[in-house]
Amino acid sequence: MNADYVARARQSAGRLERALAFPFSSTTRILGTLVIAAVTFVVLILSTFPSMSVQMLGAGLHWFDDTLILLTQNTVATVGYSGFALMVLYAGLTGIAVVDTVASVRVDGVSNVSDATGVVPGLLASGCASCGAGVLGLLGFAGALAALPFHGDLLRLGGILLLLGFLARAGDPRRCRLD
Amino acid sequence: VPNRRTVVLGGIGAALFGVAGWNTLSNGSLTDAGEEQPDEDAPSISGVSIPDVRLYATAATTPFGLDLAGTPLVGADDAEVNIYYWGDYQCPFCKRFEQNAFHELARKQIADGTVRMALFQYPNIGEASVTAGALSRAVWRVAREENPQAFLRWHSAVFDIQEKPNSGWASVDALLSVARQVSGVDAAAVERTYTDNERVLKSAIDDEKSQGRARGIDATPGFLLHSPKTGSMVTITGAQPYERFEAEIEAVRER
Repeated sequence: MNADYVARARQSAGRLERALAFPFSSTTRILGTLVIAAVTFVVLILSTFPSMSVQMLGAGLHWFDDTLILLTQNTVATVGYSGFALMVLYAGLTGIAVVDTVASVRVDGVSNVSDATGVVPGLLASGCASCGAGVLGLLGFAGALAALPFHGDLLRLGGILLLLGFLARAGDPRRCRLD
Repeated sequence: VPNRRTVVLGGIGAALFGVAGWNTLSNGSLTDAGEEQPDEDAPSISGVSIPDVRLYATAATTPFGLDLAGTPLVGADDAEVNIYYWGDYQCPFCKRFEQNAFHELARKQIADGTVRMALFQYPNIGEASVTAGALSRAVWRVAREENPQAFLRWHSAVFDIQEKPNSGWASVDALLSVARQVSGVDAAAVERTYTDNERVLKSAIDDEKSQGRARGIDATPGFLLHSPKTGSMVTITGAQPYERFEAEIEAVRER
C-alpha cells in the first residue's frame, strides 16, 4: 500500500518537473511564459484595488505606470514581502500552465479534453484564490484581505498549491498519459 | 525532453529580471517631497513638514447631510472646494496619501484657501483600526479648543510609526505613547477621555464610516470632492498622485 503511494508520488513529482521545465525548452516558449506571467502579474496588482485602477486608467492610459507602481508598493506594504512573493510565484506558474495548455492543445488537438479540462479549471480556481484581494475589492471589501489570518497568505498559498496540483496531473504536454 | 541548460538559463534570466524590477520599485521614493528639512514644531510625516494650516471644529452639517461635528477640519471655512477624506490609521495607502498628495494640497490649495479638508475615520482593516480611530477622536476632543494644531502633529506621528496592518503596532498604549511624545497634546487628558468615553468614541467612528458608505466610499483612502458653489461632486479612491487631485479640484470648481 505504502509502496503504491510512494510510486504515485514519484510519478506526480516527475510529471510536475516536466510540466515546469517544458516552457523553458525554447526561446519562444520562454518569451510566451514571461509575457503571460507579466500580464497575470499586472492583472493581479490592478485587481488589488479595482476602483482606483478604474479611476486612474479612466483618466488616461498615461497613468498606467503610476497605477502599477503605486499598487505594487501598496501590496508590499499591506501583505509584506512573503505575500508579494506568493503573487509573483502565482503569476509565474500561470505563465507556465498556460504555455503547457497551449502546447497540449496543439499536440493533441482540442479533442484531448482530459488535459484541457484538467488545467483550465485549475487556472480558474487558483486564480480566484490567488487574486482574492481583487475579488474582495470588487465585492466592496478592499481592506478585508489584510484582516484575514496571515494577511490572506493562506488563501494565496492554497491557490498556488492547487495550480501545482493541476500541473502535476498534466505533466509534459508532449507526452501521452497512460494511467 | 527539455534541455536542462535552457531551463537554468531561463531561470537565471527570470530571476535577474525580477531583481532588477524589484530594485527599481523599491528605489521609488515614497516621499516625493522628501528634500525639505523637518521642523520640530510643525506636523511632519517621515521628516517632511506639513505647512502650517488652520485646524478647527464645527457643529455644521453639509448641504447634502454630512455631519461634521467631531471631525477635524483643515483649511478655510469658505473654501471653494471641500474634500471629505475617509482614512484608516492602519492603511498603508493612507500613509502614502499623507506623505505625498496631502502634503502638496496643504502647501498649495489648502494654504491659499481653495480647499478645505475634513478628516473622517473609516476603520476598515481590523479592531486596531477602530481603536486608533477612536483614540484620534479623544485627541481631537482634548486638543480642539486650546491647541488644534497638536491634533495634526499626533495624526502625522501615528502614520510615521505605522507598521504592517494588525501587527500590534496600533495598541492603545502605543498610541498614547505617541501623544506623550508630541508637543501640545495633554496625554493624561487624552487617556482619561478615551477611557471614560470609549464606547461613545467607537460609536462615533462607526457613524463616520456609515456616512462615507452612504456616499459611495468603500475603501481607504476615499475622498468626496464637493463644490458648495456649483454643487458638483466627485469621488476619488486610493492614494492617487497629487496631479489627479489637482485635476479633479479644477473639474469640480468649473463644472
